[in-house]
Amino acid sequence: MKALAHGLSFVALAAAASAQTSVTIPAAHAASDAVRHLWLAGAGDDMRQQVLIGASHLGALVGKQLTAIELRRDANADAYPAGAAHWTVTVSSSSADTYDANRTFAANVGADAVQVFDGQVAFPASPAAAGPAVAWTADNVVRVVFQTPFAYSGGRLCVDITGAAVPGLESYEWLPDAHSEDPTGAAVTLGGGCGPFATQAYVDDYGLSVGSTATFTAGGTPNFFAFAMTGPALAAPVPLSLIGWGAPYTGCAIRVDPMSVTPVLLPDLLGASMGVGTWRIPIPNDGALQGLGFVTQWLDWATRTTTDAISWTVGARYALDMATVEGDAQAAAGHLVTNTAFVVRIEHQ
Amino acid sequence: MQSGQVLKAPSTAPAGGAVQVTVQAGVHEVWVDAPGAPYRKQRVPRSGRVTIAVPNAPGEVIAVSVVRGAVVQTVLISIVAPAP
Repeated sequence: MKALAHGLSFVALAAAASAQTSVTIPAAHAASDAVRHLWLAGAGDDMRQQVLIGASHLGALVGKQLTAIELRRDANADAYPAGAAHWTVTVSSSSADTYDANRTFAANVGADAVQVFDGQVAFPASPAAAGPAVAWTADNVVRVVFQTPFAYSGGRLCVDITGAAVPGLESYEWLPDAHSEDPTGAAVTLGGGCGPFATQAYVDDYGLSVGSTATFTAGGTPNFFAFAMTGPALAAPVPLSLIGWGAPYTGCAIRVDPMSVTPVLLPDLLGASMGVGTWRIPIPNDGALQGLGFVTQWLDWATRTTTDAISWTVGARYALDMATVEGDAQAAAGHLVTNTAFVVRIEHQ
Repeated sequence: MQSGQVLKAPSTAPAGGAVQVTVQAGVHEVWVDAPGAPYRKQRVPRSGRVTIAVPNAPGEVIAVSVVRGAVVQTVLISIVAPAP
């Protein structure tokens, strides 16, 4: 009888062990290091991170209880010191597409949100891992076992982590692995700038893709406005003085036929010599927009000069089907990227 | 090595050489303020590691910054004479 009881216990344990399985996302990096790394919320500062995972990665999890997540260290020559942070983790799902993600944290949270964990998370002391293979061993992994499982029924998953630093246990060095894709869009500088801020026009080409957010930045006179002019390229540059702005022969030239003109404040974030402003355009998740392009050029109001114009083209949506939003713990919105996300392992039963 | 939540960089760099800055967040661009040149924005490769040219100006400082909304995080790298 005792032998039978032992046998039944063994069978029960084996069944439990086989019922608890995991899925690594993106699957291509289940065993091998991905190209990038990200940071851990609360490893040094209070931060918030949302990991949005598209339904294409989650087919095996439909109808399952999600019970834990793990983040594996990045492969590099550095040993990571141990640390910890206080995490609050909320999981939810949504029928929205990954490429319709929003910079505003609340907009990405589904109606079925469940706080699955609240407590201290250990970042283990981790020896150097040269890669490319990095094992999911205890000293390579930050693991969060859910206090309340999440019942996943399909759709985009949002893992929402708010991390608070624990004084004395900061671990800035602990970098978890992340995958990242190259930009799909393109940008070319056309010229036309003059004056002190002639070259201070930029576009983040990683954002020039279907379902991403195009981000344009200009430097100019601190605490004044600059105007982002966007539209088709002019057939030939027009001297700025011809439309009543600035002196002739300065080299300032308009290169864009503006369909829109947007004022942007340039706060002196980088110091007194130059203000910096950002203008963002969400590019809808519509494949028909691939290949569409415009020109953006800035006009600095205080100096009445132009920056160089930038010709930009929208590329294909990323294949990753994941997104990351990260920002300050108390902020309503963060920085959204659709080409970079953690390599994450989700346990389920 | 100096490290913050967003940027990780050595505290010194040899004049005339190059320095590597690791960008730990998902940002795609850093601002670089190096002696003798205007501010410039530099793209972060998908590896998250940016290589910055160091001017031949021992004693000066390179500032590398990430702007996220109204928050700026900066690391300062002192330019030192290269070892003989």
